[in-house]
Amino acid sequence: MLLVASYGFYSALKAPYLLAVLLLVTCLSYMFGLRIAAHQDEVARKRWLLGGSFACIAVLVLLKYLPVLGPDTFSIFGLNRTPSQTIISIGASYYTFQAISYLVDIYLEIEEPEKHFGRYALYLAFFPKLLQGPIERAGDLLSQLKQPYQFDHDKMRSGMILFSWGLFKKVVIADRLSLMVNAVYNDVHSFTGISLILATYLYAMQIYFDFSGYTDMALGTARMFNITLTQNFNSPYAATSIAEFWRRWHITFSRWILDYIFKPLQMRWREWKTWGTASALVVTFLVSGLWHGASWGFIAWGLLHGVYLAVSVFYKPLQKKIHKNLRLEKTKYLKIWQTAVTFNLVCFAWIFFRANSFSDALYVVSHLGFGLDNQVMPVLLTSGKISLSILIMSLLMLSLVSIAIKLTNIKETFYAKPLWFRWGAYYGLVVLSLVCNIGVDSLFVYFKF
Amino acid sequence: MAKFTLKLCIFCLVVFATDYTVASFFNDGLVRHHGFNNGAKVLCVGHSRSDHGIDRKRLEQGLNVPVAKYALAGMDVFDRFAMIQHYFSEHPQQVKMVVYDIDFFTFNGRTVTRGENDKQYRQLYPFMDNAGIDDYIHSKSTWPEYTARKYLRSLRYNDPKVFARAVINHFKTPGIPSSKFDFTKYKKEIEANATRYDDLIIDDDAVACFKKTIEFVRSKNIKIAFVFLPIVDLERDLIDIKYRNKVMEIVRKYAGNDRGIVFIENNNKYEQSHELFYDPLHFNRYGQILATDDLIGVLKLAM
Repeated sequence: MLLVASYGFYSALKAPYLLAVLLLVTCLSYMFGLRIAAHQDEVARKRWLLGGSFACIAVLVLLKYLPVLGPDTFSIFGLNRTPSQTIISIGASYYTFQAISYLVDIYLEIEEPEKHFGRYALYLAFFPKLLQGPIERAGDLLSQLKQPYQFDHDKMRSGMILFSWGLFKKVVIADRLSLMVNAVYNDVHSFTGISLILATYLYAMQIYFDFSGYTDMALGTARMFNITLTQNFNSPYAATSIAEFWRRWHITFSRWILDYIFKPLQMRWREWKTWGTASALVVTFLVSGLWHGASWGFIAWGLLHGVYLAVSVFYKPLQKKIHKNLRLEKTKYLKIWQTAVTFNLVCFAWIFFRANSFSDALYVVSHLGFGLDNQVMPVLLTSGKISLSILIMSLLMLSLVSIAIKLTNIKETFYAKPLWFRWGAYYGLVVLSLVCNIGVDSLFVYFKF
Repeated sequence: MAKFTLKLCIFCLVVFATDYTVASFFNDGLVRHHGFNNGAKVLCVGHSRSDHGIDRKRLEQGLNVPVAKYALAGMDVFDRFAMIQHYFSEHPQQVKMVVYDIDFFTFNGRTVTRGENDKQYRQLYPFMDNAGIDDYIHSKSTWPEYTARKYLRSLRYNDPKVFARAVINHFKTPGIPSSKFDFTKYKKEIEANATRYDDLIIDDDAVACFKKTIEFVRSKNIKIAFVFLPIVDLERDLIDIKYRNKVMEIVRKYAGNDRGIVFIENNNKYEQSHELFYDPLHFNRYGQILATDDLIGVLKLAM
């Protein structure tokens, strides 16, 4: 039933070729997984692994880069119009990576191949994570899919709360921020200096709330079915280094590229020692940029993160020495400084990620330091004073709740409260989402990848 | 599980009841903003330039009759026909004069070619209980968008402009900006970007809809005042003069053929008065006062 529901969910996008692609990747990876496990010979196993991985990547590359070939290419799939940029390959990046990780895990004998085709198909197509991840490992998800469903009141309740929380983040906060960001980034040449800086910081917040909001909705929905998906975010902007940022942001994706791209490259180039590690990082994040899309902006974004990490490999020993000599090690001042620097480095890279073109990104970068223009208030008031007030109050509420969850046992305290209190909180959250959501064309940012 | 399902159903009922109450609150705010339930004798219909160009309260005081202003950002001739039909379906007897704004983009099929979004019909969601508006929106929107708003009434007000009007009008009558347009800066931008309005056309469907609107209003023996709303001369000169003249000729032809229609086109005298605009297209508070006072003078004679 879940499999039928998942395929039904995907078909609701009204792009039948996507169903065909999902089925193709499922069949290919299922078959190749069985072939890998059937052979004892290392060479044969490797051949089947490479064949399967290449087939999955070929499907993904064709899908993502087909629009580049021209507007009529989709007519060969019987479509009389080109689907929107967002729909074209929606979900494919995520389940393709999942399929590849499945094949590699079988090759490395970490996992046994799944013999039940329906269960394997559900592993790839499970609808809460189909469109935007998390990218689940076979070991984490397949075993859960084998368990029969039993209604669990606590999981159903906490799943619904998590879903509502994610929805609130998306429709009240992220969409509101998107109006302000779009006002600047869709017309960068009308802005300079502090407006560009403000828009970049707002974008950092927008993409976080958008993506983590979706993830909460995905995790919450899965939890209602007694399935635990992997947490994808862990306060990423509290990171004190770029490496730590990638351990907190889009966790399943960064684990994937670490395990399946970085580590093999680092092993291959281990003779180059630090240079080998640095090169492996640059290549890994270049691939990360390409995964996000066929544009120079994404490539530049990926490369920047690769360079940040590569530089840190060389800089770390010196950095440790400096901190020790200045007696800053493990002080809160150092932590604040490192967090601020990391956040700004990440935001700088977001410029390339968000800008509508590479030339727009270069314009933003070259005009960041141009001082005060008189556009800051108009940007903040893009959707009006009431909307700005709602945004500020929502952010405050979110911050207070997040801090409370981290520092206290508020969850247990909350569930111990009487029914009227808990229902009041649920009711407030749902009504706020209903009343304060803002009308934008609000597809999730990471649907595009 | 049965107990949980029952609790969930009760919770949903409570949420739906709140949704209905909140939507009613918002609807009341919008009705106040537009002046829909004051027995209006004059109905102003148009887009954001009407919203900025006509001060409803001032017009009421000047004409000494109630006025309704049904002006929403980005509304083209097709949207306005739906709006006029909506208004008259709910207030069939009262109106004596319809004030309809005209500009150089009226027959282009869209109100302006750049910077305007084509989702302006979403501002009509609050009125989707009206069958005509419901059909109109249904023809333009996607199924999920339409259905969500059909059953979750608060979602009808989630357009930021609509939301702001629905809330603010419970507390005060909002004004428009009084800031002045930076002519020098805009001139530099135009020169730097070599901007032109090269893709404007006289859309036959737009003209046909315009004609249908006139026939609809006149069939009720209601007078029409077409009001030309100016834009700054710098912006005007980006439009080919032949095109501009064609637009004016079309409107003059309809006004000339019917004694119940008047065309107020002397507002073009404000095109050089940049201090009356807060952007190239919209009057600021000072421009609104002058334009409204002019309108009062003409409508007093015409009504």
